[in-house]
Amino acid sequence: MTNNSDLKIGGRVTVRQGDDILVDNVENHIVNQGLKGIISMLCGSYDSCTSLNQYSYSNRYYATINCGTDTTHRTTYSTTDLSAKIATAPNAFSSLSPNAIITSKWVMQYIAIWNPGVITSQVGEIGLYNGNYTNITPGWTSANTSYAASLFSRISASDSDFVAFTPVSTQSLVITWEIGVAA
Amino acid sequence: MSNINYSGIVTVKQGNDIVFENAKNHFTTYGMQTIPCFLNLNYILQNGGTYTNYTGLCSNNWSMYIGTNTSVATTPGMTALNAPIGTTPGTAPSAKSSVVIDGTSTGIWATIWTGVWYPGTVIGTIGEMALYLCYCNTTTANGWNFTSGSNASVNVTAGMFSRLSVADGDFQAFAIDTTKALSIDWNIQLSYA
Repeated sequence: MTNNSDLKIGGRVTVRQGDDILVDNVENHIVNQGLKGIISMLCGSYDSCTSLNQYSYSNRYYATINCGTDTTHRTTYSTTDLSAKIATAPNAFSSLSPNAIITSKWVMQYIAIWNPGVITSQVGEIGLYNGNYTNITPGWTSANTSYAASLFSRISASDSDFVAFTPVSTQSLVITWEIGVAA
Repeated sequence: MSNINYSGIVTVKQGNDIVFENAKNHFTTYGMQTIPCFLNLNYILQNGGTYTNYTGLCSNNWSMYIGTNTSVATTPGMTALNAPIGTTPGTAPSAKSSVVIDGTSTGIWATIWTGVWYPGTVIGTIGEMALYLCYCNTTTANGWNFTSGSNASVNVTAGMFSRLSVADGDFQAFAIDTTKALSIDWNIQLSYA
Protein backbone atom coordinates (compact mmCIF):
# COMPACT_ATOMS: atom_id res chain seq x y z
CA MET A 1 0.00 0.00 0.00
CA THR A 2 1.19 3.52 -0.71
CA ASN A 3 1.67 5.40 2.51
CA ASN A 4 1.68 8.92 0.99
CA SER A 5 2.76 10.58 4.22
CA ASP A 6 6.15 11.85 3.05
CA LEU A 7 5.61 13.33 -0.36
CA LYS A 8 8.00 15.40 -2.42
CA ILE A 9 7.35 18.17 -4.90
CA GLY A 10 10.17 18.18 -7.38
CA GLY A 11 11.15 18.75 -10.95
CA ARG A 12 13.38 17.04 -13.49
CA VAL A 13 14.88 18.49 -16.64
CA THR A 14 16.18 16.96 -19.85
CA VAL A 15 17.83 18.92 -22.66
CA ARG A 16 18.31 17.48 -26.14
CA GLN A 17 19.79 18.54 -29.43
CA GLY A 18 18.81 16.13 -32.15
CA ASP A 19 19.66 12.71 -30.76
CA ASP A 20 22.17 14.10 -28.28
CA ILE A 21 21.16 14.40 -24.64
CA LEU A 22 22.94 17.41 -23.17
CA VAL A 23 21.25 17.32 -19.76
CA ASP A 24 19.81 14.05 -18.59
CA ASN A 25 16.90 14.11 -16.17
CA VAL A 26 18.55 16.31 -13.52
CA GLU A 27 16.69 17.57 -10.46
CA ASN A 28 15.70 21.22 -10.53
CA HIS A 29 15.81 23.71 -7.68
CA ILE A 30 12.40 25.16 -6.85
CA VAL A 31 12.74 28.69 -5.50
CA ASN A 32 10.82 30.48 -2.78
CA GLN A 33 8.34 32.23 -5.07
CA GLY A 34 7.36 28.83 -6.48
CA LEU A 35 6.62 27.58 -2.97
CA LYS A 36 4.74 30.77 -2.20
CA GLY A 37 2.60 30.21 -5.29
CA ILE A 38 1.67 26.72 -4.12
CA ILE A 39 0.88 27.88 -0.58
CA SER A 40 -1.24 30.62 -2.14
CA MET A 41 -3.29 27.96 -3.98
CA LEU A 42 -3.72 26.08 -0.71
CA CYS A 43 -4.78 29.05 1.42
CA GLY A 44 -6.85 30.84 -1.24
CA SER A 45 -10.61 30.64 -1.56
CA TYR A 46 -11.27 31.71 -5.14
CA ASP A 47 -10.05 33.61 -8.18
CA SER A 48 -12.79 35.38 -10.12
CA CYS A 49 -13.82 37.63 -12.99
CA THR A 50 -16.65 40.11 -12.51
CA SER A 51 -16.92 42.27 -15.60
CA LEU A 52 -17.42 41.87 -19.33
CA ASN A 53 -14.44 40.51 -21.28
CA GLN A 54 -12.34 40.49 -18.14
CA TYR A 55 -9.60 37.88 -17.89
CA SER A 56 -7.77 36.64 -14.83
CA TYR A 57 -4.55 35.11 -16.07
CA SER A 58 -2.49 32.89 -13.84
CA ASN A 59 -0.13 29.93 -13.57
CA ARG A 60 0.04 28.11 -16.92
CA TYR A 61 -0.77 31.17 -19.01
CA TYR A 62 2.60 32.70 -18.12
CA ALA A 63 4.56 29.47 -18.09
CA THR A 64 7.69 29.42 -20.21
CA ILE A 65 11.29 28.30 -20.16
CA ASN A 66 14.27 30.57 -20.64
CA CYS A 67 17.98 29.93 -20.92
CA GLY A 68 20.77 32.06 -19.48
CA THR A 69 24.50 32.36 -19.78
CA ASP A 70 25.57 32.58 -16.14
CA THR A 71 27.92 29.88 -14.83
CA THR A 72 28.87 31.34 -11.45
CA HIS A 73 25.72 31.88 -9.36
CA ARG A 74 24.26 28.94 -7.51
CA THR A 75 20.51 28.74 -6.95
CA THR A 76 19.27 29.72 -3.51
CA TYR A 77 15.72 29.67 -2.23
CA SER A 78 15.65 33.46 -2.55
CA THR A 79 16.74 33.45 -6.20
CA THR A 80 14.10 35.36 -8.16
CA ASP A 81 15.36 35.20 -11.75
CA LEU A 82 18.07 33.83 -13.97
CA SER A 83 21.33 35.70 -13.44
CA ALA A 84 21.92 36.44 -17.13
CA LYS A 85 18.76 35.56 -19.00
CA ILE A 86 18.74 35.13 -22.75
CA ALA A 87 15.52 36.91 -23.63
CA THR A 88 14.72 34.79 -26.67
CA ALA A 89 11.50 32.86 -26.00
CA PRO A 90 11.06 29.32 -27.27
CA ASN A 91 9.74 29.03 -30.80
CA ALA A 92 7.28 26.48 -29.47
CA PHE A 93 6.06 25.89 -25.95
CA SER A 94 3.54 23.31 -24.83
CA SER A 95 2.54 21.24 -21.86
CA LEU A 96 0.96 17.87 -21.38
CA SER A 97 -2.06 17.40 -19.17
CA PRO A 98 -1.37 16.65 -15.52
CA ASN A 99 -1.13 12.92 -15.35
CA ALA A 100 -0.74 10.10 -12.90
CA ILE A 101 2.37 8.16 -13.86
CA ILE A 102 1.47 5.82 -11.05
CA THR A 103 -1.02 6.32 -8.24
CA SER A 104 1.65 7.91 -6.08
CA LYS A 105 3.12 10.25 -8.70
CA TRP A 106 1.36 13.13 -10.45
CA VAL A 107 3.28 15.21 -12.95
CA MET A 108 2.96 18.24 -15.19
CA GLN A 109 5.31 18.27 -18.17
CA TYR A 110 6.41 21.36 -20.12
CA ILE A 111 8.23 21.23 -23.46
CA ALA A 112 10.15 24.14 -25.01
CA ILE A 113 11.73 24.10 -28.47
CA TRP A 114 14.08 26.64 -30.02
CA ASN A 115 14.64 26.33 -33.75
CA PRO A 116 18.19 25.71 -35.03
CA GLY A 117 20.43 28.73 -34.67
CA VAL A 118 18.07 30.75 -32.48
CA ILE A 119 20.19 30.44 -29.35
CA THR A 120 23.84 30.85 -30.18
CA SER A 121 25.43 31.79 -26.87
CA GLN A 122 26.62 29.48 -24.13
CA VAL A 123 23.89 28.10 -21.85
CA GLY A 124 24.85 27.91 -18.20
CA GLU A 125 21.45 28.19 -16.52
CA ILE A 126 17.86 27.38 -17.40
CA GLY A 127 14.68 28.51 -15.64
CA LEU A 128 11.05 27.47 -15.58
CA TYR A 129 8.70 30.45 -15.22
CA ASN A 130 5.09 30.39 -14.07
CA GLY A 131 2.32 32.86 -13.27
CA ASN A 132 2.78 32.21 -9.57
CA TYR A 133 0.05 33.39 -7.24
CA THR A 134 1.39 35.80 -4.64
CA ASN A 135 -1.43 36.32 -2.14
CA ILE A 136 -0.92 34.45 1.14
CA THR A 137 -3.80 35.92 3.13
CA PRO A 138 -5.86 33.00 4.48
CA GLY A 139 -9.04 32.61 2.44
CA TRP A 140 -7.99 35.23 -0.09
CA THR A 141 -10.22 36.07 -2.99
CA SER A 142 -9.47 38.14 -6.04
CA ALA A 143 -11.45 39.67 -8.84
CA ASN A 144 -10.11 40.55 -12.26
CA THR A 145 -6.51 40.05 -11.18
CA SER A 146 -3.81 38.83 -13.51
CA TYR A 147 -0.46 37.72 -12.24
CA ALA A 148 2.93 37.81 -13.93
CA ALA A 149 5.61 35.39 -14.97
CA SER A 150 8.15 34.71 -12.26
CA LEU A 151 10.84 32.10 -11.78
CA PHE A 152 9.51 28.82 -10.40
CA SER A 153 12.66 26.68 -10.56
CA ARG A 154 16.13 26.64 -12.03
CA ILE A 155 19.01 24.38 -13.00
CA SER A 156 22.52 25.67 -13.54
CA ALA A 157 26.11 24.80 -14.27
CA SER A 158 27.12 26.49 -11.03
CA ASP A 159 24.89 24.05 -9.10
CA SER A 160 26.73 21.24 -10.93
CA ASP A 161 23.48 20.23 -12.59
CA PHE A 162 25.10 20.15 -16.02
CA VAL A 163 28.14 21.32 -17.94
CA ALA A 164 27.63 24.61 -19.76
CA PHE A 165 27.10 24.08 -23.48
CA THR A 166 26.75 26.12 -26.63
CA PRO A 167 23.92 24.94 -28.89
CA VAL A 168 24.93 23.90 -32.39
CA SER A 169 23.26 25.95 -35.10
CA THR A 170 22.03 22.99 -37.12
CA GLN A 171 19.68 21.37 -34.66
CA SER A 172 16.70 22.36 -32.51
CA LEU A 173 17.20 22.72 -28.79
CA VAL A 174 14.51 20.84 -26.84
CA ILE A 175 13.96 21.16 -23.10
CA THR A 176 11.53 18.94 -21.23
CA TRP A 177 10.67 20.01 -17.69
CA GLU A 178 8.61 17.81 -15.43
CA ILE A 179 7.09 19.11 -12.17
CA GLY A 180 5.56 16.45 -10.00
CA VAL A 181 4.16 15.37 -6.67
CA ALA A 182 5.39 11.93 -5.67
CA ALA A 183 5.98 9.62 -2.75
CA MET B 1 17.72 22.44 -2.22
CA SER B 2 16.22 20.25 -4.87
CA ASN B 3 13.10 18.42 -3.83
CA ILE B 4 10.49 20.03 -1.61
CA ASN B 5 8.99 18.16 1.31
CA TYR B 6 5.20 18.22 1.09
CA SER B 7 3.72 16.99 4.33
CA GLY B 8 0.68 17.32 6.57
CA ILE B 9 1.20 17.46 10.32
CA VAL B 10 -1.71 17.06 12.71
CA THR B 11 -2.15 17.95 16.37
CA VAL B 12 -5.31 17.19 18.36
CA LYS B 13 -6.36 18.72 21.67
CA GLN B 14 -9.27 18.37 24.04
CA GLY B 15 -9.44 21.54 26.06
CA ASN B 16 -5.83 22.23 26.99
CA ASP B 17 -4.85 18.56 26.86
CA ILE B 18 -2.86 17.37 23.87
CA VAL B 19 -4.28 14.04 22.71
CA PHE B 20 -1.43 13.63 20.20
CA GLU B 21 0.79 15.95 18.24
CA ASN B 22 2.73 16.17 15.01
CA ALA B 23 1.34 13.03 13.40
CA LYS B 24 1.91 12.89 9.65
CA ASN B 25 -1.15 12.61 7.43
CA HIS B 26 -1.60 10.49 4.30
CA PHE B 27 -2.43 12.36 1.12
CA THR B 28 -5.11 10.99 -1.15
CA THR B 29 -5.22 11.38 -4.91
CA TYR B 30 -6.95 14.74 -4.48
CA GLY B 31 -4.04 15.87 -2.31
CA MET B 32 -1.59 14.96 -5.04
CA GLN B 33 -3.28 15.91 -8.31
CA THR B 34 -4.63 19.27 -7.17
CA ILE B 35 -1.23 20.98 -7.23
CA PRO B 36 -0.31 20.14 -10.84
CA CYS B 37 -3.92 20.79 -11.84
CA PHE B 38 -3.87 24.37 -10.51
CA LEU B 39 -0.41 24.90 -12.02
CA ASN B 40 -2.14 24.08 -15.30
CA LEU B 41 -4.70 26.93 -15.03
CA ASN B 42 -4.44 29.44 -17.88
CA TYR B 43 -7.19 31.93 -17.25
CA ILE B 44 -10.74 32.72 -16.24
CA LEU B 45 -12.82 34.84 -18.63
CA GLN B 46 -16.14 36.57 -18.07
CA ASN B 47 -17.61 37.08 -21.54
CA GLY B 48 -21.27 37.75 -20.80
CA GLY B 49 -21.55 40.96 -18.81
CA THR B 50 -21.53 42.05 -15.21
CA TYR B 51 -21.54 38.61 -13.64
CA THR B 52 -19.11 36.73 -11.49
CA ASN B 53 -17.46 33.52 -12.55
CA TYR B 54 -14.76 31.94 -10.52
CA THR B 55 -12.61 28.96 -9.82
CA GLY B 56 -12.42 27.73 -6.27
CA LEU B 57 -8.99 27.31 -4.74
CA CYS B 58 -8.10 24.84 -2.03
CA SER B 59 -9.55 26.74 0.93
CA ASN B 60 -12.93 27.22 -0.71
CA ASN B 61 -15.52 25.28 1.33
CA TRP B 62 -12.79 23.54 3.33
CA SER B 63 -13.68 21.44 6.35
CA MET B 64 -12.57 18.64 8.66
CA TYR B 65 -14.38 15.51 9.72
CA ILE B 66 -13.83 12.79 12.28
CA GLY B 67 -14.83 9.14 12.26
CA THR B 68 -14.80 5.97 14.30
CA ASN B 69 -13.17 3.41 12.01
CA THR B 70 -10.01 1.77 13.35
CA SER B 71 -9.41 -0.98 10.81
CA VAL B 72 -9.21 0.54 7.32
CA ALA B 73 -5.87 2.10 6.33
CA THR B 74 -5.68 5.08 3.97
CA THR B 75 -5.26 4.46 0.25
CA PRO B 76 -4.71 7.11 -2.46
CA GLY B 77 -8.11 6.44 -4.01
CA MET B 78 -10.05 6.90 -0.78
CA THR B 79 -12.55 9.77 -1.00
CA ALA B 80 -14.33 9.72 2.36
CA LEU B 81 -13.93 8.63 5.96
CA ASN B 82 -14.90 5.02 6.52
CA ALA B 83 -17.31 5.70 9.39
CA PRO B 84 -17.82 9.44 9.87
CA ILE B 85 -19.37 10.79 13.05
CA GLY B 86 -22.55 12.51 11.93
CA THR B 87 -24.27 12.44 8.57
CA THR B 88 -21.85 11.82 5.68
CA PRO B 89 -19.31 13.35 5.18
CA GLY B 90 -19.53 14.02 8.92
CA THR B 91 -20.26 16.70 11.47
CA ALA B 92 -18.34 19.82 10.50
CA PRO B 93 -16.44 21.79 13.14
CA SER B 94 -18.38 24.41 15.08
CA ALA B 95 -15.69 26.95 14.24
CA LYS B 96 -13.04 27.03 11.53
CA SER B 97 -10.02 29.23 10.94
CA SER B 98 -6.72 29.19 9.08
CA VAL B 99 -3.35 30.89 9.16
CA VAL B 100 -0.41 31.01 6.78
CA ILE B 101 3.22 30.69 7.79
CA ASP B 102 5.23 33.00 5.55
CA GLY B 103 8.45 31.26 4.54
CA THR B 104 10.10 34.19 2.81
CA SER B 105 12.96 34.19 5.31
CA THR B 106 13.03 30.54 6.30
CA GLY B 107 12.00 28.60 3.21
CA ILE B 108 9.33 26.86 5.29
CA TRP B 109 5.82 27.64 4.05
CA ALA B 110 2.62 26.36 5.57
CA THR B 111 -1.11 26.73 5.79
CA ILE B 112 -2.62 25.61 9.09
CA TRP B 113 -6.34 24.89 9.20
CA THR B 114 -7.95 24.64 12.64
CA GLY B 115 -11.29 23.00 13.32
CA VAL B 116 -12.98 23.26 16.72
CA TRP B 117 -15.99 21.20 17.80
CA TYR B 118 -17.70 22.76 20.78
CA PRO B 119 -18.23 20.55 23.87
CA GLY B 120 -20.93 17.97 23.32
CA THR B 121 -21.40 18.57 19.60
CA VAL B 122 -19.77 15.26 18.67
CA ILE B 123 -19.83 11.98 20.55
CA GLY B 124 -17.90 8.75 20.07
CA THR B 125 -14.45 7.22 19.88
CA ILE B 126 -12.24 8.70 17.20
CA GLY B 127 -10.29 6.36 14.95
CA GLU B 128 -9.90 8.49 11.82
CA MET B 129 -10.00 12.12 10.74
CA ALA B 130 -9.77 13.97 7.46
CA LEU B 131 -8.98 17.36 5.97
CA TYR B 132 -11.34 18.31 3.15
CA LEU B 133 -10.07 20.92 0.71
CA CYS B 134 -11.42 22.12 -2.58
CA TYR B 135 -9.75 19.93 -5.19
CA CYS B 136 -8.94 20.28 -8.87
CA ASN B 137 -8.85 17.34 -11.25
CA THR B 138 -9.11 19.00 -14.64
CA THR B 139 -6.70 17.38 -17.07
CA THR B 140 -6.15 19.39 -20.24
CA ALA B 141 -3.03 19.72 -22.36
CA ASN B 142 -1.66 23.27 -22.63
CA GLY B 143 -3.66 24.48 -19.68
CA TRP B 144 -7.32 24.80 -18.85
CA ASN B 145 -9.58 27.84 -19.01
CA PHE B 146 -12.92 28.69 -17.50
CA THR B 147 -15.07 30.93 -19.67
CA SER B 148 -18.61 31.89 -18.77
CA GLY B 149 -21.11 34.59 -19.57
CA SER B 150 -23.07 34.21 -16.36
CA ASN B 151 -22.65 33.62 -12.65
CA ALA B 152 -20.81 30.30 -12.66
CA SER B 153 -18.04 28.42 -10.93
CA VAL B 154 -15.71 25.43 -11.18
CA ASN B 155 -13.66 23.52 -8.64
CA VAL B 156 -15.86 24.42 -5.71
CA THR B 157 -16.30 20.97 -4.21
CA ALA B 158 -14.24 20.02 -1.19
CA GLY B 159 -12.95 16.47 -1.13
CA MET B 160 -10.84 14.37 1.18
CA PHE B 161 -7.38 15.79 0.65
CA SER B 162 -5.65 13.80 3.39
CA ARG B 163 -6.47 11.45 6.24
CA LEU B 164 -5.07 10.26 9.54
CA SER B 165 -6.12 6.99 11.15
CA VAL B 166 -5.57 4.42 13.83
CA ALA B 167 -5.39 1.78 11.11
CA ASP B 168 -2.36 3.57 9.64
CA GLY B 169 -0.69 3.58 13.06
CA ASP B 170 -0.91 7.37 13.29
CA PHE B 171 -2.53 7.60 16.74
CA GLN B 172 -4.45 5.58 19.30
CA ALA B 173 -8.21 5.67 19.29
CA PHE B 174 -9.58 8.04 21.91
CA ALA B 175 -12.99 8.85 23.33
CA ILE B 176 -14.30 12.36 22.90
CA ASP B 177 -14.59 14.20 26.21
CA THR B 178 -17.95 15.90 25.78
CA THR B 179 -17.12 18.45 28.49
CA LYS B 180 -14.28 19.94 26.45
CA ALA B 181 -13.77 21.48 23.04
CA LEU B 182 -12.09 19.19 20.52
CA SER B 183 -9.63 20.98 18.27
CA ILE B 184 -7.55 19.80 15.34
CA ASP B 185 -4.66 21.76 13.83
CA TRP B 186 -3.87 20.48 10.33
CA ASN B 187 -0.63 21.90 8.99
CA ILE B 188 0.18 21.39 5.31
CA GLN B 189 3.80 22.39 4.95
CA LEU B 190 6.31 22.91 2.17
CA SER B 191 9.98 22.93 3.09
CA TYR B 192 13.30 22.27 1.47
CA ALA B 193 14.40 18.66 1.77
